[in-house]
Amino acid sequence: MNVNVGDVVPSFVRQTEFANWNRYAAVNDEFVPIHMDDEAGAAAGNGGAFGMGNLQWAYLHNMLRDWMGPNGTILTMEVQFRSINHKNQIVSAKGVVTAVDGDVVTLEVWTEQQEGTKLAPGTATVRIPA
Amino acid sequence: MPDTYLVPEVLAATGRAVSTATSYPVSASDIRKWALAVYYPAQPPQYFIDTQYAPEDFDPFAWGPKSHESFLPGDDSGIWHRHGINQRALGFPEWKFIVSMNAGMKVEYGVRMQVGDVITDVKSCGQYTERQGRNGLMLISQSISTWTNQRGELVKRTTNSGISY
Amino acid sequence: MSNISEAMKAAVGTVTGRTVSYPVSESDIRKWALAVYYPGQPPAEFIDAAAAAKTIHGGIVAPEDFNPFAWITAGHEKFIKNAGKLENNNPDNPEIALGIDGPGLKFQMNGGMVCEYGVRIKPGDVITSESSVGEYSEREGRLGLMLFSRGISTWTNQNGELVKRTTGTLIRY
Repeated sequence: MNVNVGDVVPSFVRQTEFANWNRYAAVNDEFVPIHMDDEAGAAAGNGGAFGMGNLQWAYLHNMLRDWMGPNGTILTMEVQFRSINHKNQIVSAKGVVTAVDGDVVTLEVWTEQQEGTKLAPGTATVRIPA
Repeated sequence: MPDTYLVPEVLAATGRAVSTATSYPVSASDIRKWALAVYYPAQPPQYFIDTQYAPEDFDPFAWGPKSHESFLPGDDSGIWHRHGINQRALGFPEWKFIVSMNAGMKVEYGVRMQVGDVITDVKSCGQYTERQGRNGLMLISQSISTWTNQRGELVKRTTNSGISY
Repeated sequence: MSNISEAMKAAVGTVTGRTVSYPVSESDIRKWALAVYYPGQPPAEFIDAAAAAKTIHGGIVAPEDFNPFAWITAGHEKFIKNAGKLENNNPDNPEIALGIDGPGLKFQMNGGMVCEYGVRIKPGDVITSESSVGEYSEREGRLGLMLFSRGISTWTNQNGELVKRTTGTLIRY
């Protein structure tokens, strides 16, 4: 796999709503009212129910994995949860290569909503397959 | 509304096997999580946590079967009809129903489901009957789902009834 | 001047708790992958043993973000017996949980989280998570002397191999 600084990783895109959130709640036992119930989300000051940070985290991994294929290795990841993932937003997990050192590649990664506002920015390092 | 729903295609369907599905092996984790969910917020009985066997209501097909196959020629629905039968592929007339509702279910249980079991579901058509109701002529359709384990033992036979008008 | 007391320095490295998972099943992995890729199809290495066998893993592996502790665990131990009572949003909570005096700083914020991955989780693995106290450090910032404290969660498999190390940082000032 030939990778250069500046390479853009294909985005992993999802419309986020209860269909995704409920499935994630089911596998991760993450049944938190603010993610399941618009009233609880509104009471917490977020307008309605909103998505799990952990699912943004998963989407960032999916984006890197789809790019590298099964023989790539994710070495590290670090993100900050900056903005709320509101219902029906189109969330894209994105990445850009910032450094290449042999087979170890550093990327700026983030999720953003459809207008380009970043939800969860961070960095990752991966070992790309030969 | 037709004069009768019990046309020859409908009458001939009774007893006909329409599709089959096979589950992934039941895991201990599946049983534990199912029990935790259906007893929430209480603790499930310890024998479910210890996974001696699955609750009777456990569904080994949740999140999708390992494989499925329709026996009906021309059944191009492409998805697994988990709860229903593709009546179009059975050659039923395309009635325009205003209401279709689940009218109930009856289950007979056989042996318990246990860790490692692979369950096979065969769906077949049950009895079709009709009745005059307040809203006109109603079709009552039964579908039968028969589950067996890898030893061919009956696990469960479910009869679902639906009413359409 | 420093907010890092001798007791805080001595606490670094303390293991505060240990949680052990039930064995990870192929079913857990498959459902996790179905959920996080929904409504798309997950990659074959998570759901198809034959396809997974052709990868460098030689069989099914779990996604890196998989949580083997969801729903129920096989066991959990807490090692700190003399912990004080935590109060909502008290910046001293990390030290109260250790049974020592905190620095008494007024403000706190989440300083982020870093994950390092080791070997992959495979079906049958039993994962142990140990929580421990990370390093303290401090530096002069815009808001005065800022204290950085770290909590570490280390996951290992039944062979003692590192699966994942997560370091969370709390900033107080």
